[in-house]
Amino acid sequence: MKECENVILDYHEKAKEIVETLSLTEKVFLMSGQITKEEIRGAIQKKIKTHYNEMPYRAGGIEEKGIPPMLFADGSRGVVCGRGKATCFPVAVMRGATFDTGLEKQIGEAIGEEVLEAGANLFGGVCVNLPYHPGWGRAQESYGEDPYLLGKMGAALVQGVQSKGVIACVKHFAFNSMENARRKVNITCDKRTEREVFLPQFKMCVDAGAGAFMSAYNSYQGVKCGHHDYLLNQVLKKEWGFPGFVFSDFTWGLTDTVEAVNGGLDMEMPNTCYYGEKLTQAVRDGLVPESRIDEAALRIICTLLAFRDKRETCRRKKADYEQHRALAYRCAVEGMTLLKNERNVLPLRCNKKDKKIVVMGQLADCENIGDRGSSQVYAPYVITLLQGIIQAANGAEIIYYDGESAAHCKRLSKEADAVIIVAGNDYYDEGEHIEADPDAVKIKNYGGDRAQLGLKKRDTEMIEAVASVREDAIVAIVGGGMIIPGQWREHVAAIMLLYYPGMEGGSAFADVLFGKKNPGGKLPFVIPQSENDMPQVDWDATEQSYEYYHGYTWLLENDREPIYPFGYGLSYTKFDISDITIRTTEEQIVVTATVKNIGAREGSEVVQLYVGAAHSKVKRAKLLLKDFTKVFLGKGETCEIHLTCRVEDMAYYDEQQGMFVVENTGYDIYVGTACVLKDLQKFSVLVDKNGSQCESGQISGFLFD
Amino acid sequence: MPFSVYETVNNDKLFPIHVFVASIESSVFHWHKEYEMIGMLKGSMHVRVQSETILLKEGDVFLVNSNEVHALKSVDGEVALCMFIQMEPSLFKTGDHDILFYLDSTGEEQVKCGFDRFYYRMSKIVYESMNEDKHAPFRVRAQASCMIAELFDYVVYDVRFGEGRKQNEQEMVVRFMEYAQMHLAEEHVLDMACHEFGMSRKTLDRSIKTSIGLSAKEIIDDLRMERAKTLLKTTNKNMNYILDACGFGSEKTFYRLFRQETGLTPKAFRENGSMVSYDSGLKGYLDFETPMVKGMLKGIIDAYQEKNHCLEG
Repeated sequence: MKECENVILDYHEKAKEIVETLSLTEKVFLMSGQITKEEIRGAIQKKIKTHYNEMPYRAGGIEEKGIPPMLFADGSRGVVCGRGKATCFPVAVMRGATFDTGLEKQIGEAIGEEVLEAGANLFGGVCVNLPYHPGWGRAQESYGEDPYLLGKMGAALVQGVQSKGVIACVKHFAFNSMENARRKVNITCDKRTEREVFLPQFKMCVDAGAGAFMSAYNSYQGVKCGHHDYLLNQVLKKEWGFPGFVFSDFTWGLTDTVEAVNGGLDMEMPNTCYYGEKLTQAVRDGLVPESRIDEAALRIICTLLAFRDKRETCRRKKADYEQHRALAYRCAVEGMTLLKNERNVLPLRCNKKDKKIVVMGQLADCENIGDRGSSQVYAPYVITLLQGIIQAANGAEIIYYDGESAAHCKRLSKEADAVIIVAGNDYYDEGEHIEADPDAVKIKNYGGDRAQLGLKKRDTEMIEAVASVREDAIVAIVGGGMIIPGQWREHVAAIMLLYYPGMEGGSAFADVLFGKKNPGGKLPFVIPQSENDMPQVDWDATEQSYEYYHGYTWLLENDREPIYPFGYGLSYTKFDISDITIRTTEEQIVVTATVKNIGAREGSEVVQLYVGAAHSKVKRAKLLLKDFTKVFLGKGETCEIHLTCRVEDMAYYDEQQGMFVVENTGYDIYVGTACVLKDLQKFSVLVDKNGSQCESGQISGFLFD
Repeated sequence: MPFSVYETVNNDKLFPIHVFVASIESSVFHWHKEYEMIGMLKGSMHVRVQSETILLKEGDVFLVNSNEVHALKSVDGEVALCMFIQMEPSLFKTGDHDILFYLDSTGEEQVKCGFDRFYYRMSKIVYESMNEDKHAPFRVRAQASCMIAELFDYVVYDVRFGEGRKQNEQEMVVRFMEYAQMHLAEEHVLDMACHEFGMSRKTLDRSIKTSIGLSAKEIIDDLRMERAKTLLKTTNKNMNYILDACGFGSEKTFYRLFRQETGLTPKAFRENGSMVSYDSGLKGYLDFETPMVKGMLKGIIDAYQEKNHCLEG
């Protein structure tokens, strides 16, 4: 885990030698990007021919001193640079739904290779912000609502990307969970919320060796995150021992030279506005100590050298795009989340010549792969859901209709063998908030946060029209955030969540639909009954406080039943979990269980471990995800799985002592396949006062009835 | 009589549409690859399509899809004057799929822009096509392009993919009719057809009925009647020859069916009945007097523009 971190530190001496030869101007030169503000703004507003980040964005680099430049490539669903080449993977939230860290690491490796092909050396697409409210417009770029899931997936991506000698940049540090107000909002929360809910996933990425961090636009406790001494200097660099460098979120991530640089921001990106000459002057004026500039330069040089050498030592093979696309396909299959499947209506068996299948909804017939902000990937092609179905239909007649007229929906539904409705969102509804160019005539704003979490009226009417004439409708929901299915869910036979499934999404969807593949996704967020069942957020706020509970912990705390719980997802086969035993070592609890595929075909299951501390002296989530593992089993196959939870991961953050504390109390260990209290198998263990030294005899696991 | 089931349509090669006004007495079931827009200028007319019979009256618009089997028939005693615009599928698409529009001003399905927009647009196209100045073709093409865009914008349509669609019931109807035309003189053409297609009478009837709403027998009667009328009007053949040539089997059947259809005996029909000439190549579509039609179209165009305060659109 610490491998990359150590690598960076190994270059400390060498970097120090270089820093000593640099003039102040040269050091400052390393600390900012070289793109013009006009270039970046024009690209974001799509006013110029080249798209955002079409070429890597460069910062620093002094050849004669042996310092490579930093060359930034954005993400997260693939590499933004270039056109018609990069692989567009499913969005991060769908990758979260795979609960498969091994797969995420492979995607990281593929992305790493493509970053190099694009001529860059840093990947800016590791987003681990926690969607405090599911309406967050960029929830699609992150792995779901749970800090542990976010941290594990983020860490896997970091490791995959960096294994190719590409620096992984983790973003947006921190509390960036609102989009529309991101540049003006000030977030407040108490220390426990900060440490237990919003920061752990960032720390897990640091522990995985991440070489760079990007600060957030928003403020925290009244200070802009790009200027944040507490977050950047104290927590990230000092407490967590992060050895890499921190750069600003683009252009608007800092507003003051001295505050930013003293706050711990090592680099301004992607243009030079507050750094450069202003920074040199500030040092000369004594407002910034030169030692601070040395530290920033050292961090930048250390990291760039470490990864340059890593690139040279790891045998670089040419990116195999075909293989990457196969990975994108596999990920889409593994992430598709089947929520309802009454009477086993899925998989469909009507891909035969004499059958008629109706595909409804305009989102079936468009390249819907996520937002069109800074994470847009310019893939060579996108298989739409409709195209996927046509390809896999074996000659069955496919009738596509956009679904606008209820009467026509009914007419078509009556004559068909199956009706598949595609509903949900696209880049207009959510994503990075891009304001319309004020000079342009009536071009819609797009992206941003979602004020409503249900389906649009257009979609609901289409579903209800079909449901009024047949009971076996299949609804596929597309979207990067949590969507609450309305009452219509009672009247359809199947519901499947597709997120934004990437360039191969259409093929994957069709193969799942017709049963060639078994869907493997689990909800990376809870789906509550209503928009009232969650913390409330004002999307236009200048002040917003984040409370301790959100998502499934909020529902558990408030005794509300979700529609679909966190971690939930059906399969075409069935699994049995038996022989659960709990064993303790000095540092951790180890759960062992036997998983058996008792259904009729191959499939995957995600076994989840949750921990609660009902008798804690502080308020705690009733239960929290602490580990998970995904298993793939053939029909009738059995395997043994191990889940672990370190004692220190059961700690809470003690505000008085300013540290994590392990309580001497009983802990409830839950094992199961979704976060549903009544379905989880519960065990109890005791941890002694010194936590880490607990004797195994004192940690007793026994089954509650 | 040379009988081709496919209508011949004279296309503008540059922009493959065919525009004409005709008064309709009747046409047998037929189909063509062109989309056909029908606008009723005067009188009323039945359109038989997709197992339905639709009554179009003055002001109505209707679209017959590409390769859709249909038949037209005027209401007794009325002159039905219609605008026809036939458009090649290549104007609508490039790929190997079918686009089906659902435009029928007598149906429940409304269109967002109002049916009168299509009625107006058709009138403009026909009106421009009647102009002889050398720039008129540009205006016709422009108007037709607008109309195609408006079909996509405002009319319910769906798109069909897959080899499966080519084996649907309509295909069966086409094959059946082709066969029937060839063997109409045989009294037992139906049994022969069943044998030919390897299906029972029941199956044949069902597959034809779901497509055009008629039984195989009714189609045969229809085709025989058309042939008999043609022979009566265009030849001097005697009754026995005609009833044999048309496969009626007996004189009794011939007379009964003929009276049912026309209200006349074959003899009276030969003397007094009206019959469409097929010579134009467009079965049943008659030319109409130009100045009168132009006057009607101008009235429609002016009324629409005044109502919608537009000069051009």
